[in-house]
Amino acid sequence: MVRLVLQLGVIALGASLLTAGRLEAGLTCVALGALGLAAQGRTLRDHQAHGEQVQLIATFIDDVNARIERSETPDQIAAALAKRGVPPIVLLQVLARHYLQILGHGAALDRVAADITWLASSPPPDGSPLEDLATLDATTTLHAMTFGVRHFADNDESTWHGAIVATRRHFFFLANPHHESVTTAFAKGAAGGWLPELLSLANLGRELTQLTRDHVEAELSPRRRAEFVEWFGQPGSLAIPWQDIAEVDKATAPDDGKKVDLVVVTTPNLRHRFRLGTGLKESFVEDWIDLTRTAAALRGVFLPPHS
Amino acid sequence: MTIQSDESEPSVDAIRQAAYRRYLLARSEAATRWSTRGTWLAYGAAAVVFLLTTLTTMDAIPDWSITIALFAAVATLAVTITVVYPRLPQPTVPCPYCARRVPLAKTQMSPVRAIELLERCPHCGGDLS
Repeated sequence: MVRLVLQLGVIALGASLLTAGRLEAGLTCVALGALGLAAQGRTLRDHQAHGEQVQLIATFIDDVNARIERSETPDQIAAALAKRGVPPIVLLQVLARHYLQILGHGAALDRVAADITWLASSPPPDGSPLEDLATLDATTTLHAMTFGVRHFADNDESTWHGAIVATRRHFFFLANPHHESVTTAFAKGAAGGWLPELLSLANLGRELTQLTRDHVEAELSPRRRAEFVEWFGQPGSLAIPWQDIAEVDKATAPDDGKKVDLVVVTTPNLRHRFRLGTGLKESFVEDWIDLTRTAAALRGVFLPPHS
Repeated sequence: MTIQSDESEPSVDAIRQAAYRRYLLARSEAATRWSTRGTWLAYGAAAVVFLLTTLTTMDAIPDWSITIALFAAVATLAVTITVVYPRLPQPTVPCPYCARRVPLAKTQMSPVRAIELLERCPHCGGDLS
């Protein structure tokens, strides 16, 4: 509601500037407000579609429970329900989130072991990170991706700009060699009349559980896959198998007390710090923490919920 | 199957105590970040409103343009801090008992008021004070 009011306010301000004869400022405000409204409309449609998907999954709960009783693996259950309109990766995420909610602090270790072992009982076939990227599929292998991410080196001396991508096998950071600043991207986008790619894609990781697969699939073109493969060869890029992740957390940015970073610690004790977008939206980082725990659980790794 | 843990075989009580200590630390850090962000967001919004109001009114009422823009900026500052920012999503931290995400405060938070911390987990009823 607050966003809607702000966007309508920006449009009204633009109209006021136009009537005052300030064409450039007025048009910019109207265009920004209209783009914001369009984006909000798309988010609302996504939320509706997500709600329908949740209802659909809820109608299959008895069937899912019966299949778990028959010792079917998560992938077998996901494959069976895929024929009834539920993308396999969505069902796997739902199952993992359900089990992780049960496994609170102090849960018996044998219970944790049994549940996580079952979640990881049908691993995807092994493959190199490059194969993983080249064969990305929005309904079976891609958990989520977010653009407009900065990766800080362990010693904070180097910074790379790019995207984070979570697949069933790896957590990737892909350094974009053609990175442009938000200001440049915005100026080019505003001049051309379209929403800059950097801005439109940055939100793909937000509200991860609310996004429909159509939304993700629309951004995963063959060109995008080829770009990912190219970016993987750049300095600063990395691929971490889920089994190597020891901890995921959020932390106050060392250079700015109001920003928050996503921190991924890998064995043996390497800290990778990522800033998602401006670093001001904490729920964005929280979504990625939850997604990382979910994806790791599906590969047999229980990451305790720290923050 | 791998269970990542800092200790080899900690007891359930030790795990819960460590989780509670981490919860307190994470909650304190998140609250500090949240209140810092709120005031900076308001300064930014006020600056934008000041510029746009000046631009809009400088031709029609040049003598009063700056004064009106200043009033508009101060009003924006107040509205952003007291009305807009508290309605944005609060940071969350995992409950130290059930591990589900819980907000920091009982009610909407404001950067200019003391935060009323959540005392009970809304999911499991655990003591968070």
